[in-house]
Amino acid sequence: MRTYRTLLAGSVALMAVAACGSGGAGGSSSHAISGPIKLVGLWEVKGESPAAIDDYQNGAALAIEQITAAGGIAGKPVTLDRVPLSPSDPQKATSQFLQGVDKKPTMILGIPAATSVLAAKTQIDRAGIPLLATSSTTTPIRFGGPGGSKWLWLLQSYDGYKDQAAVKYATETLKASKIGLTGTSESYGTTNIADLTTALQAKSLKPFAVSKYAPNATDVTPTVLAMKGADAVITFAYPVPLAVQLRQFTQNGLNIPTIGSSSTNIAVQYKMVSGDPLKNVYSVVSCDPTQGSQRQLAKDFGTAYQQKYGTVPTDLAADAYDAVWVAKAAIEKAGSTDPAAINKAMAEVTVTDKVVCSDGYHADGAHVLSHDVSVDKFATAGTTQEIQKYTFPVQDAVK
Amino acid sequence: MDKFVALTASGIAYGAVLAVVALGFLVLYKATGVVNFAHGDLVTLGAYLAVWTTTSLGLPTVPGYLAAIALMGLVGVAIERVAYAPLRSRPPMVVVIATLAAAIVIRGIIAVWQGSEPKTLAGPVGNRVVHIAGAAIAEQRLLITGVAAVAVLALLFVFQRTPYGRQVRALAADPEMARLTGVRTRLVAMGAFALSAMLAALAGILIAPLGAVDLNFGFGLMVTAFAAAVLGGFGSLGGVVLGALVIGLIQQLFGGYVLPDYAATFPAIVLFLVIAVRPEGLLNLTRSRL
Repeated sequence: MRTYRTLLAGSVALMAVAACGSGGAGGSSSHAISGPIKLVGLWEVKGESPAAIDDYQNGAALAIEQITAAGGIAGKPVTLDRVPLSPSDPQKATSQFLQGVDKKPTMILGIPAATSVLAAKTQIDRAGIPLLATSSTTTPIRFGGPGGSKWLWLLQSYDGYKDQAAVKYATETLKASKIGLTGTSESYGTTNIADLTTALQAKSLKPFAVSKYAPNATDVTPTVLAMKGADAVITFAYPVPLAVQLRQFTQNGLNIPTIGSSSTNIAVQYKMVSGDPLKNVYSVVSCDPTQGSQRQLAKDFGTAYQQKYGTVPTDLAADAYDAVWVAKAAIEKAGSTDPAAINKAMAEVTVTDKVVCSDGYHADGAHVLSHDVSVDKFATAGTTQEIQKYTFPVQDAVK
Repeated sequence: MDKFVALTASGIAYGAVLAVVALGFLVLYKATGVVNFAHGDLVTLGAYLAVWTTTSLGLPTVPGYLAAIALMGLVGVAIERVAYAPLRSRPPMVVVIATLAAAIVIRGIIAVWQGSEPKTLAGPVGNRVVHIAGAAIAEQRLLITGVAAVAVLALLFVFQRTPYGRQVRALAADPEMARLTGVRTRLVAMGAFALSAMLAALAGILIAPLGAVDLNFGFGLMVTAFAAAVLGGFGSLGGVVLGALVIGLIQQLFGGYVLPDYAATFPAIVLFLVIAVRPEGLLNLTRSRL
């Protein structure tokens, strides 16, 4: 009986742990740019959570350094504060967002996960400070959607466009007709698998097979074997299980072209996967900020980043870098630190100068600023080459 | 057929790792009455230590692994001194909560020491595969199965043939009587914590080369291994090994053929079913002692 009680109590404890303005555009005199501009980045750096990376902070800090060297924003100094916001804990996103608001920033940047943006939606509405999110752009957080807000702007291209780009590349360039879909069994994976299925249906195709696995999976053999016979596999998963999947393709003797998301670039950069498992691996990303890019501005950014941090940047670092430049452009267009004026400017501004991940950021009706998606191909050494770029049409607000 | 073979090989290898993790649970439980919920983080720490010994210290693969396992023995002793010895006379739930606290501390230490960025552990056989009945099987999986089998046999020998094993069995059978007859419970407990931590490290080192190591690496393994231990009755080595193999095969074969999206939930379902319907485990070996 004691054994039973101990086991029962232990099980319950274990499961508990598992669950472990005013004013218009043009700038009122009270908000004219007179003092330092404060930007706040909502992202983590290494050590702050299992999923934390330095990429966002590094990219943004590089932009701040370059802007400061060039005279600041509208001639005023600019600072970057940071509040750690976990990409994997949406429950904390609201309080972490409010910590950012408490710093009284001119503008807020970041939030690496769309689920966290969704969780903080009410506070984003109330805060009345423009937020330029660097998360992936999922359907619900677009303007007009349940997680959208008039204060929320989305830097990255719409996830559905990445899905469409993956399907387009698989069917048109790789000539695949039997396309398997895999991903993690949470919001990121399941949402994209649904969008990928829709994109395949638009081409009169059905998924060859669909298989999901847990975000903490250490063995995905059933998923890998379910893809046997496919011409191509499209995967939207977190970096760690994605690395497991790519390795286990090789370990099971399979060499199927696999198209992943920016998680692939992270997995490769952090050396979770290298060598043979990278044969035939591609990714759809906001951009390729490495020497493999087709854009000179991206190559220049990659060079500067590598000189400063000693590592190749990911597209996430480039997103944060671009977010700072977009914020600069919006504040200068507003000519004011008035939040409403900056928010209005966000809707109007077109940013082409210095930015690396788009030929031109301009918000559409859904508040999505980028409409470009790049396809990277990996070499077994881990380097990338941007081999395709797609530009998708602007969107209206979600009805 | 090749799919069945591949899934079976994967299930056996996964079950073998689970068995090693579950035996770590069992050894400690039998010697001290403690269910250690820091065990998953010990699996993680063991893998990180192996990464450290083989990369930062530059030791060859196998000696690096062995050094990591030896270090984990010391970590086990330290946990016994800090999280168990001062609480020995408290109710079991207090000690269980202390192990949860130890888990959080271990995870924090790893994050500070190694950062949160995932690591990879090189395996001695790389990505090589062998073909059996048309199925490609990673040599690492064969290695896992073989090493785990040797570890189980060695553990059997220790508990059946050595004075330490007899003392643990005596404690498991009747703690009071064992103490009255001179069993040195403090030393036995320290040994059990050390052995349990070394088994956790072995499990982490065996499976890490198949994927990547991050701070959550061992947690899922611990939950699944706990289900395996409960399935086996938390009583005997044989029962736990059988439970682990059953869980491994169920997860891979059901995951491969029936409900692939829900493979990860099978162990939790089994855990609840066994506790609700047959808490003594499949083999009714709760009363037997190792």
